[in-house]
Amino acid sequence: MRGSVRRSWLIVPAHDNDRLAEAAGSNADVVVLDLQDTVHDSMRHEARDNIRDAISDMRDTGSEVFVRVDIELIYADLVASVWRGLTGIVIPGVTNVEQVMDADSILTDLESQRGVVKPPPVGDVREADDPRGPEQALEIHLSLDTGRGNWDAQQLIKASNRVKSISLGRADLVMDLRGEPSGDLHQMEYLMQRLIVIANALNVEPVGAWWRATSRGLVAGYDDTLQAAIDGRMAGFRGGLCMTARQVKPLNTGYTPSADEVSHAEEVFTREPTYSPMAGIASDLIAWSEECQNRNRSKSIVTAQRNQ
Amino acid sequence: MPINNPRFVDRSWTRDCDYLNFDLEDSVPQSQKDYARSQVRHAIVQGQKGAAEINIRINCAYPDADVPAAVWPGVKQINFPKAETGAQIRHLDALITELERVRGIRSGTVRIGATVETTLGVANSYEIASASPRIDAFGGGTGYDMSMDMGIEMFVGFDQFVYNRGEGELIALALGLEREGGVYMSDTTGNVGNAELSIKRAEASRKAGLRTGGGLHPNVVAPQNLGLTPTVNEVEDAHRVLSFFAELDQRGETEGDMDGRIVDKYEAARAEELIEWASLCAHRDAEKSAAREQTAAELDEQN
Amino acid sequence: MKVFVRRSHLLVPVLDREKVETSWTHNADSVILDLTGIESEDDRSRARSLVKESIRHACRGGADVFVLPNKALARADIEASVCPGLKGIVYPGAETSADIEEADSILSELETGRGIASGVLQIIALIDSGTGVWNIREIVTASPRVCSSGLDELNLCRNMGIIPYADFDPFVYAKGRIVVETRAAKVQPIGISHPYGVLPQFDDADEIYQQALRGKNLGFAGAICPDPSWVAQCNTAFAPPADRLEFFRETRRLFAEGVARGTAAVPYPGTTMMIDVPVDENARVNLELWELCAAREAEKAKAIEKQESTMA
Repeated sequence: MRGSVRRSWLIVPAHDNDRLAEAAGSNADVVVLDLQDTVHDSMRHEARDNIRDAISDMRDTGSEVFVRVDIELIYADLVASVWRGLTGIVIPGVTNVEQVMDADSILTDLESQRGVVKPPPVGDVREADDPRGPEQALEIHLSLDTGRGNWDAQQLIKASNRVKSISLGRADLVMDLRGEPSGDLHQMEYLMQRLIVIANALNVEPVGAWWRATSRGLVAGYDDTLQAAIDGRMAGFRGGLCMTARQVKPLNTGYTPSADEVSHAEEVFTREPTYSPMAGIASDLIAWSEECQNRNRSKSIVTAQRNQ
Repeated sequence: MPINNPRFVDRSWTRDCDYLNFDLEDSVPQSQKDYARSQVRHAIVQGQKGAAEINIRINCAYPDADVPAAVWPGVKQINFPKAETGAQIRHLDALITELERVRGIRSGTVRIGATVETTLGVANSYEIASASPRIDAFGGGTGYDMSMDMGIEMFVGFDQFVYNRGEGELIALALGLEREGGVYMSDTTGNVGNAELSIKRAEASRKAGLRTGGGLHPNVVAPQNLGLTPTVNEVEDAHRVLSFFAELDQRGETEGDMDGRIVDKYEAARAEELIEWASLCAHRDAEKSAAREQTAAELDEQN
Repeated sequence: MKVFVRRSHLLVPVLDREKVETSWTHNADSVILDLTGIESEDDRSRARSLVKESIRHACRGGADVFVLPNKALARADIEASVCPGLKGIVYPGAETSADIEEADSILSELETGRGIASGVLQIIALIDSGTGVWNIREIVTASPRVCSSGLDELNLCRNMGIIPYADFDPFVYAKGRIVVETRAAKVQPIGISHPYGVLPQFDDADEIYQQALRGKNLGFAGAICPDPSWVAQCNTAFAPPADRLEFFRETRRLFAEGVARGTAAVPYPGTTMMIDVPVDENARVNLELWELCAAREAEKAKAIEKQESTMA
């Protein structure tokens, strides 16, 4: 299967100590420390100063850590972020290839200066002299939240090998896509399904949930979030972004196959001819379910270790 | 409306439209095309009595004959139907440029409205929409001709143009053009003059973030104007959002809760846009009203 | 668009001899002999040895006969298949123009070697990955042999990590793209509506018809039928509706009269409909398609007659 288990990506303002503490206890698969939209200009320095410690706090509680940078302040944001424990960065608002290449090269410089490599999966240990390969380069996640970014998605993704995942980010807000009488957000069906096709074509992970007009810009209640995750999984997403800690549980739940689904898949797998697509779909679901269990287990191991 | 129909043209100024689209194309039979071309200047005079913006839809097959007949002072936009390639648009742009020059129209002021009505047009939409700076709005291919090219019957109770509309709007967003589009609402009647459905559609479009509409029947003009104009309450609310956000910003916060609604910089931007849009609508309404009054007064004097 | 009528493509596994031997009796416009999904090497060899005979059976009702080879074993499968009577091959999982070009050159080689007129063998391109959906334009324009394209929805689910559910259509974008790009290239898109594209059912004739009709109204020109129960419904749904023929004829008559009078906008009496150029053109196109479908039925009937007289 492709990539790690990243069912919940919790975005948290990096200057807000209360929210950081909340994120550390949230059980999110990924914590995204935010230096962009949720950080007021006057708080930016404080936010950057918090990043290094916040990265280890989040790692200690079993989450992978990304930092969401502001594309207009990318150099300063990356300098504040490239520290041991960081897995990657989220870049919203990307509209041209040069921006991606620029981010790539700043990351290369900082990795090299500071001896930072992408950490191993949560719960694993890397020996100091393990060889360093390209799979240890810090990742870039592109939040394609503009018209131009979405139209040119293929070129943007190909602009750097670090790009491993993409999302629409807060496209509904940036592109001003609002609710329709059906309850769906204008153009979201088209944009989400298009994103998933492109992601599959370029072998990167699509991240997102099927948000409806009732949930505004990734902030929704438990039920709406759970439904968005379930619908998102049906569309081909395997994880979604959220803005509040209480949304982590419904995201994790929605993106994990239920026990019923797994037993149904086992039955299908036994019944259908081995080479049939149905058998393949069933066995992929079983494998995904196992990976989710592994992820849950490694989180518990890490938090148990921390509590000792 | 067909430009060769004096009844339609002479009354056009009374319809309270923001735009009048005088047609040299599909609503004019082959035998009348030459006559139609000769009617453009008269149509401009008539249409302007109501301060509508004057558009002329030409034939995609005869741009060299139609454009010289169409580009006169007073014409705001040339509509090019069944656009399929960037080359067609570039050629059209060149024809218009020359006519602006010889007829004393300010260079670059005549716009092009490119309509996509075939699958090839959808496939080539990006090259079409980016082929000329005269294009300032773009949308997806839907409608009757498109249905024919796709081999489908319309009005069958489900959205048949998700891809087409999606491509058109995304391209408009990518190029910074005004988005022409619609919100799908199920309609199995195929009735082009349905005022009630029109107002619902216009409202839904506006709430989804769109700003224009169009149609084939005078019955839909007033409902569209209404549906696409913000209400007084909405404008008041927008002002509240702006003050609330200003306070948040003062306090060094990026978002807050106003009566259970989230207000952040995006909501503030939407509120600003709504206030500006409402003001533009009011201004436009006043313009049209004044023009109609003046025209009516002139007609009275004549009688 | 390429002018042929293939509203129903009946899919028949080559190793199921009973299905092969009766494949010609269902009135399908096309039969696709399926060489995929066979587990053992021995069975695969056996299937290859049976292809030519299977083609002869499938042809008997006048259907256009195609073979669906295994992507990984394409050359061997295609070599076993090319003979007079074969209309072409299905390319399973096309992703780039290079895929089609490769198939094209194999077919050219075999046409030359086997005394078949050059270029007659056609290709139906099936898409089963995000790459294929994205690259659809280069795929359908890669060779003049490409006559149709479609989504292999179940394999597409597999490759995209999507679990099929009846309530959710994950391929609205993909289907729209296939229809638009394929028709823009004057090739015929084939497919059916959701959920039958991923979760086919065979017991409800009305529902099969409705799904096929929706498929037609998405822009598809025909569909692959995993079972004979779909054939008649597809033949009907993908043809113009019989009960509208009078309306189309009357539309044309009224419009011609209008044009003679000097108008290009004629109201249709008793309706709010206005007949103008596109409405008249639509009527013309539908009447033309009706004639083509009638001709196809006549062709098939003639083939059946010939069968019966040969057997008598």
